[in-house]
Amino acid sequence: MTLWAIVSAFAYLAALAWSLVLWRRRLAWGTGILSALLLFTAGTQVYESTRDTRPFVIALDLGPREASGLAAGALTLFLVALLANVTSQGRQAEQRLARVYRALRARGRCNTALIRAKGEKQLLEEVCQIIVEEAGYRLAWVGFAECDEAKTVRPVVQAGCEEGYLDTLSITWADTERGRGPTGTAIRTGQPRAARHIHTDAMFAPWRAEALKRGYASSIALPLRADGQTFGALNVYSEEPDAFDAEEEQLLISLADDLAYGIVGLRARADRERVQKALRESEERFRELYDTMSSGVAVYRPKEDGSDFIFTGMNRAGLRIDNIREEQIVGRSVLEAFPSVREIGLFDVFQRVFRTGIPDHLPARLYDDGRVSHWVENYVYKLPSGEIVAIYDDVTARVEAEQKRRQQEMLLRNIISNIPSAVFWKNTESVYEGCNWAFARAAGLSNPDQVVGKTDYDMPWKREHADRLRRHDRRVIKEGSPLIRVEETLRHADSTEHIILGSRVPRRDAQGHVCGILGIHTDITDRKEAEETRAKLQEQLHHAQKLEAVGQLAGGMAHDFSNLLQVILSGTEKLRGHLGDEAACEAYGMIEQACTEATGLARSLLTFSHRLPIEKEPIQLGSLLQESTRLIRRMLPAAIEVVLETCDDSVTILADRTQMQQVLLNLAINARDAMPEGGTLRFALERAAAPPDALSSPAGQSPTPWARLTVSDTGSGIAPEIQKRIFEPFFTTKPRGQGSGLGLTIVREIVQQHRAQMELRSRQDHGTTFAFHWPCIDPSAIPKESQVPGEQVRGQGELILLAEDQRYVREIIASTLQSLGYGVLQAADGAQLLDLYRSHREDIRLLMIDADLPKRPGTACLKEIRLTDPLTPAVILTGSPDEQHDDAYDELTVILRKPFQMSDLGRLVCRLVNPRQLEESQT
Amino acid sequence: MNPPISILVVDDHAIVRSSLARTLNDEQDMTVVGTAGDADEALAEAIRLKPAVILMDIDMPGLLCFSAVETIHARCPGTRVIFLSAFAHDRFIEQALAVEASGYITKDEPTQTVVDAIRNAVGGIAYFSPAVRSRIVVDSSGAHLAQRRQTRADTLTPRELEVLRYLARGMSKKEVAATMHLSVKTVEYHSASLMNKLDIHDRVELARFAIREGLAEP
Repeated sequence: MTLWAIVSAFAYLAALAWSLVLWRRRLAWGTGILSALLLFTAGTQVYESTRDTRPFVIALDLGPREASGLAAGALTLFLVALLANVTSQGRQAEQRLARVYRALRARGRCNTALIRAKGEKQLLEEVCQIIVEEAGYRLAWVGFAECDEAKTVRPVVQAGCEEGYLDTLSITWADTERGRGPTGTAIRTGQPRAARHIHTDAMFAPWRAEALKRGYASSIALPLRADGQTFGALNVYSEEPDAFDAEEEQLLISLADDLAYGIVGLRARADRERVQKALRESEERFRELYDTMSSGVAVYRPKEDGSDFIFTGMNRAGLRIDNIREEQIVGRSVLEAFPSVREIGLFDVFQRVFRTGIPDHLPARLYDDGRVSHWVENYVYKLPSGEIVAIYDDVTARVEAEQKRRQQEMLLRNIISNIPSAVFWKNTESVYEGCNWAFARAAGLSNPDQVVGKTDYDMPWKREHADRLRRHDRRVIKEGSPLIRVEETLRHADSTEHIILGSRVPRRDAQGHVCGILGIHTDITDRKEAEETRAKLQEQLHHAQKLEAVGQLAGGMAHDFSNLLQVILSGTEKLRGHLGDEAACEAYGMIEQACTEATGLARSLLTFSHRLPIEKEPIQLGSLLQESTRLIRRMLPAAIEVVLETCDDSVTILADRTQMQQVLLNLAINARDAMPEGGTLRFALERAAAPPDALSSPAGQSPTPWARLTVSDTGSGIAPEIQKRIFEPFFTTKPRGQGSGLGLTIVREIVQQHRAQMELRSRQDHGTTFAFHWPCIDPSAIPKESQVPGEQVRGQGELILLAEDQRYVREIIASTLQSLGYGVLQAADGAQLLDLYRSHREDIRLLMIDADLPKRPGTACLKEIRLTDPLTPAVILTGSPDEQHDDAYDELTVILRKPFQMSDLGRLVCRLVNPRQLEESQT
Repeated sequence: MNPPISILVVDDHAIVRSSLARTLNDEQDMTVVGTAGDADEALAEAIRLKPAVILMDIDMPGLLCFSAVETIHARCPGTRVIFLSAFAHDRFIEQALAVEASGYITKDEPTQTVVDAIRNAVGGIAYFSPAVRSRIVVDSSGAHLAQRRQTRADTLTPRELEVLRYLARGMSKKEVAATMHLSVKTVEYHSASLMNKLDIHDRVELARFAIREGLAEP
């Protein structure tokens, strides 16, 4: 028994030690045995091997109360344990072999998966799956290292028993507590990292509880690397502690490397595909662009030496622009397809770009080869392939619009440039932005461009003018309304003052806001001067009219004055008979003389105020001068001496007395004004030779005698430069209001009307002389008819019997005869005639009988008278020119045909009544 | 002894009137029965007094003396009219002849001429101053003015001439109408017609023209 006990005890202790080893090895059944041994419990427990599908049952049936049994049990147990150990070691080796084998298979499958893999995720999933299924690990997952701030590790795929474990991880690859686990460390270091005993390993602390819950006993994290960079980790968990021996670990590392390689490859392929797709898309886009762009694009392949360029393509727009089909040009030379490219210079550009590779631009040119004609603008550049590309646009519409705009601009510019008014434009600050030539000239600028940037204060105008212009500008800008036709004064660059009519209108931008001023200045200086001249002429005309009116008034006054003189004269005549003493007689004589002179003066005034009819008559120039100078002396101040020198009184001219007097008067007035300090006014008359340019007398006639009348003063003379102008109407050197400027004009007209000639000699400060050449007439050659007979030959009261039925005519004839000094008997009809004749036949010296008397015709009466009285002269008055009375009358009977003038009658009567007296007077 | 010659003296100047009247009254065979200052007054006085001779100044205000004389001759057939004037204007002469004046004496003639002319007039002999006489021509229709220079005024009718004379004196058309015993319309018609003929459309010009032509005195 003791031996048994000893053996049993020994066996028990051996079993216990063994079980401890097993427990230490964390073998389940080792724990069971240990427990059984320690508790001396008996029972049956079933342990299911996790590594082996086969059930391994150890039944222990120990009875603590049986010592012998204990010993036997212990012994048995020891034996069993020993046996178990031997079996276990063999099986372990077998298992290890199997595991390696599986790992290899897993790697093989992984490699297959790598080759077949289409996508990264699929590959990862497949690999995890293989690790769990093929290699028998509890869990496999892959996490990628995110490059975010927290350096998160993002689980991507997993396989096996996970049960939400990954959600609890929150791993980082930063060097923190949660980054110092196997996964974080592996990523950070790029080295595999294993946790061989999860329940003891310190670095696994953060995740231990969750890991143990799911039966993970050990784990390994394998870095996934590419190009030296770790981008993630493959994590494998085993339910056994310390599950990864060196061999297995190496296998897993290889697997992880394969996986990383696979991922990189997949990624590269994905990138490639993406790039290819992008390229494809890009090309499509460019193709679309090429075909839909509005500009034409032509691609040329240059010949090697650049001597020609061959079409390789042209886009749709190009074909449309050139009105050509692609097949017509591709493969052809540009010179063939478009022969005019050389002319417009495009070919040169091609060659230049071909040579230099520098893009070039050919501005709009008119391309015309007969087939197409349009304006094109080209951009040419060289492709890396060496091809030449021309991008071009049909700019015909633009060019034409530009040309039109340019033409319009030119037109506008021309208008503005050539408009006679000055045109300018300013901004809202009254700064000039431009002007035309007229304005530039006025402002003294050599070019309109020089006005830009200037203001009115930079212009030659005076400051006050500039101020006013500025005010006008302000007003237009402020009110936005035009300021039209404002009269302004401007001093031009040549220092002349100009009157201008200025208009300003606001310039507006597209929005309608006032953006400046457009102005126009019209120079109205000339017009103003013309207006002033006209006004001055008008004034002079008014003045002349006033003078005329004054003249008329003077005439009227002279008229009244002469009336009064008549009264005085008739009054003094009555006094004459009552005068007693000598003194009274003397006074009477003075009164009479004064009145006579006053009457002459009034007559002269009447003459000068145009009251007498204008008629040329023989005038004795000497007496005319005497008469005129008498008046002129009264008119001139005493300081002026009037001298009259006449050769003889017989110088006779044919002229209008009034006008002649006017000539003398006008010259006298001018002389007076030329001699304010006094002087001598000389009138001289002399016979003279004909002036050189006078018409010669008709052949056979004695030459016309001429008279020369000079009027000279000792005054200031007439300046040579105005001598030609002094005869112009309204030209005057006298102060305004003192002369009409008509005096010498009238003189010249009168002289011309009389076919006379005038000559002016004047020296400044030496006086002026007007010389007139007047054609004379011979006073003896004047027909006697033109002389008034009554003045020379008067009747002596001889009785004339006048028979005329028209009472008034009879009275007038009687009046005339009586005025001539004859006595008149009047008969109204034939009967009366005969009665009167009979009663006065002894005294009657002349019969004057109307041929057509009532009661008895005058002719019949005369016949009857002639029967007894053949000697008394008779005049038959007849109104009908056709009547033939010649045969009816004797030589003492004269026919006087109506109409006749009273002067004719006078001469006739005189001849018939007293022929001798008439003869005497004529001799 | 014959009764003295009754005379009406017409002149717008009172002093001339009285002077003439005194001179004529001094003559044994003459008596001035009345005086008048204008043609209207003269007409009224002539009708009232029926003088043998009227001594009349040509240019006076109011009714034109020639018009007045026409009426006087119609109303007082026996009255002789002698014109006095400072001027021997053709137009005056023409009109004096037209109204068969018994004389036209220019004022430069001595007073005695006037006295003689009055006597002659009563005796049936007219008296014309030499300047006037030389302008007279006798033809079959009577006594006229010798050929006169043609002026624009010659294109006017007698009526128009008369209107022109009044207008030239500054009378309004209304006044002219009243003076001529015409309607204003008629005067306007004549006025327009004469202005057209003369091509003068201004009253002042018209007056100046009339003065120049001797149709009016200033």
